[in-house]
Amino acid sequence: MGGNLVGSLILHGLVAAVIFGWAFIFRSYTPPWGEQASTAGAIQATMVASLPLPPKQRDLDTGVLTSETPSPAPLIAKEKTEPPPTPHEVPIPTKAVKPPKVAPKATPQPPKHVQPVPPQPQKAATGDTGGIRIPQATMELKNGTASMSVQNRTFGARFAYYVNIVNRTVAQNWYTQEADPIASNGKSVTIVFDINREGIPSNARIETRSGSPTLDTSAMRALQRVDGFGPLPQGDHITVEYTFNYRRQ
Amino acid sequence: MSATQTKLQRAIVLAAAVITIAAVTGCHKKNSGVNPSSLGPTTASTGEAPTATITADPLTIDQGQSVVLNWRTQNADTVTIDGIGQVNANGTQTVSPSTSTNFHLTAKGAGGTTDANVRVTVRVPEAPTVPTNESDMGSEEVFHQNVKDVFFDYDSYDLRPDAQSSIAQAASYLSAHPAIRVVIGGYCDSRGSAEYNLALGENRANSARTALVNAGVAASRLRVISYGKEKQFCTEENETCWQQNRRAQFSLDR
Amino acid sequence: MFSPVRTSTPTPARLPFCMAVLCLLVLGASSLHAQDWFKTETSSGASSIRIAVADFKPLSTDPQTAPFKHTFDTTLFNDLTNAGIFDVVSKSLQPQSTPGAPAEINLQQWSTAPVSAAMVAFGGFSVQGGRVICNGYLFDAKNTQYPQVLAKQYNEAASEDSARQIAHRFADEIIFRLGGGTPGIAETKIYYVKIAGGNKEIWAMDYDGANQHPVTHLGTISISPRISPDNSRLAFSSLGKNGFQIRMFSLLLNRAVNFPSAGGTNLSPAWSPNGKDVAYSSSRTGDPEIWIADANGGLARRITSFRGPDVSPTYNPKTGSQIAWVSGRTGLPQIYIMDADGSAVQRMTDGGYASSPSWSPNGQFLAFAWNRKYGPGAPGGQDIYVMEIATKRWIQLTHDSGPCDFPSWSPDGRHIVYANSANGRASQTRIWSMLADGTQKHPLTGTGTDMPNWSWK
Repeated sequence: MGGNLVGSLILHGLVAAVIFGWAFIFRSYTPPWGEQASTAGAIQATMVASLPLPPKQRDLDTGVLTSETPSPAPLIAKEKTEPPPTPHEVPIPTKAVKPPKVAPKATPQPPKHVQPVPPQPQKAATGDTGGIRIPQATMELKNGTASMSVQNRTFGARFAYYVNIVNRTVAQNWYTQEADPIASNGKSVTIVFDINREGIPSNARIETRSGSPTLDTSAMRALQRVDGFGPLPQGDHITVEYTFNYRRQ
Repeated sequence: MSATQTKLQRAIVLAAAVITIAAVTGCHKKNSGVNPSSLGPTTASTGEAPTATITADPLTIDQGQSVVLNWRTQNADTVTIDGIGQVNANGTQTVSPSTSTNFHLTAKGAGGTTDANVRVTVRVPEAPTVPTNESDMGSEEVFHQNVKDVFFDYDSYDLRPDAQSSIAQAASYLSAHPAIRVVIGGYCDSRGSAEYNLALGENRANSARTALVNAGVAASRLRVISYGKEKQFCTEENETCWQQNRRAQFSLDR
Repeated sequence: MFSPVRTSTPTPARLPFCMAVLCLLVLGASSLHAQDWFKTETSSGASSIRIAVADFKPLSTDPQTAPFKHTFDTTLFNDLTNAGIFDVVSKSLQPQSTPGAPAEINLQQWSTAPVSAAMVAFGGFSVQGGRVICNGYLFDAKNTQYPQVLAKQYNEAASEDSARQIAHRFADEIIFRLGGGTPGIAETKIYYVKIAGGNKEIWAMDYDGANQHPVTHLGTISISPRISPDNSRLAFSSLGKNGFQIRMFSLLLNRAVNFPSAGGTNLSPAWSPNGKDVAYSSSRTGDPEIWIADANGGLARRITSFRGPDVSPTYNPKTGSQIAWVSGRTGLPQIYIMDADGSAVQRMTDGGYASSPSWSPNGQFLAFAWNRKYGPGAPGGQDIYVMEIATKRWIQLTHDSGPCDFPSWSPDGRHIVYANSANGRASQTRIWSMLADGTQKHPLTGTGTDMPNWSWK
């Protein structure tokens, strides 16, 4: 028992020393966040609504606001809040690399900035590698694919560009973080909706449940965010089947 | 011959004679009316009174502009207008009076004389009146020596203590010279939004105005204009200059 | 979720080990620095439409064709690039061919690498008999069976300006068709203040900075131009003998129309989206408050009664039933919103010096100028921020470029125009345009311009 107590005291002292020592040593290097005039007003945003711009491509690395949550805080701050919850997970070696991703589950603000940035290939803005070449009906996304078909087959063939617009618009409004990554991984949900002459979607309903309620909800919400697709090039209305396939990258 | 035959012949002759006489007298009655075509032109020879009207367009002019006179007469054979002379019975004439004039038309005819008038008003610019001692507001220098501008803290329109004493001094000077009217200008420094600074300048000038009114100056003598940061007293980017610009300025309201 | 593996009583050896790992992590994390600007990633990864804009084929030998065609080509390319929703193929990657008609285009050329376009805009351009005749086509490069999306023909009197306007119209058609039904902004205008000597006049220009020309010639200081929703009248505030008054200028009659003067300083007019009401700041009662009058200036009624300056109202353009404005009732000016009758007042900013709100067309965002560190001894920067009204979360769009002010949303909600002065001096102010997420900033005018206002359509 004494050994436990001594060990515990030593470790607590070590932790305290590290924290205070680090703060003391590194404080002068980086300006305190949010107080320096030139960096004052750093961003604090997890916008729910979206600016009506398409999400920026990987090649753009200046400050971008996407249709989803922009980084609410610089990375350091998030790191600081991690130590308290993580001691329970650290014993598992595999989890050691996860905390930056897992912590968001503890806090209500999921920052999407951390992991995805490094692995993305730097694509030149002028498309040296070419645009993403995808079949019309399927769109490849970061956390899965989205595909759709129009029940009226001639419409789909004749106006493939419109099908593409519907696909793209819904995909851009799909916030994949709303789906629980573990429960939804590998699952698909299909929703069906109508589009009227003015391009306004309505009557959205789930046709095939995925088994992950969060994935189903995220799919329905994606459609709710869309105001319209633009007027139908032909006809009074079309019915669309839209499938979201969630696949963690 | 029988007596009845003789009576019958007498009756017939009598009737014929009556009818002939009646025919002649009937026509005579018609001829007693006047045949209008037998009358000549309606000149004085008939004895009717003349009528006349005269109008001017426009009725009010500035000095140097012209007026068109327009007149109509009836039953007159001599028509004259004062200042012009004899004119036709109906006509128009353009005139340029230099002062307000009454145009008098006289129409004379066999039936009498009649006249008509129209008055044309000419606006003459008034000569500037020499200010008497009563309304003299005095010179600018004397004014500014005694009524000093009031300065404010940033984003504030409350009077500071040094401003309060300036106001008191200004109020006593203005009370001693009741003819002076003042325009108070509100100004802001160059930072911040143009629109907000105009509103803030307004508040600053009003604050000074209220203070003067409370000190006894009549409100009708004080006028307020805000210039915000549109007009600046200096243009450096330092606190000294900014303080110079945050003011309510007093000027003579001529 | 994860299930932490832990025994009920961790052995002493485990605890020091986990804490040591933790310390290492914390130390390792210290090497990461606070970033000035967030770097985010697309959530879904869905790409923008990749569109190629071919040079149009000259169809006539008229000598005027070449310069007008050049204007047309450049304008069309810039309009589609500025739209913010396309990935426009760079001119250097395009094939050299200039197809002028559907029969002439080889879609294979355009849909394979290096172009890899999903859409191709092409057509023919000619000047004949003093008229510009232009046929424009938009083809879906991946749908070889039914490629045609748009086919448009334009016929206007020949001039440099009409070549530009035709390009704007064609670009707007493409944007409308491919952008989900939101009309393009290529034909919209920006009204702004031009500083000329000691005076300020109201000028107008196209959304891309072309065609700058004066609107007023009053010889005094005129500021805060606001165009009406139907583009017929321009309201602004002008310095007269009795201070600033609201003036109304009819663009159809090309002269001022009547708007009654009132006492005090009258500033910052704002139109309601139905064009019937004008809200403005008036100090006729002594303190600047927000008033609303009808478009002719009658039926003026006051809707705020705070001590302190109230100025710069702007309506919610989607509903017309709310107004955002700047109030100094607590000291430094802050942004508030209220219903159009003055009730339900709600404060939006929590400090600093906030001014010049502009409400986004979809009703969800406010753009405004904010200096979060204002005051003597703590000089800060004034930058453009966008705040989501429902959650009050905000994003900073400009940084380290000098004071920025007077943001104004475009009618498609994708662009913001604003005034920026690189060194803080009023004479160096120019008007810039950017996408609503802060990217693609570029200047529209030279120096000496201020207070831009984007038209509604």
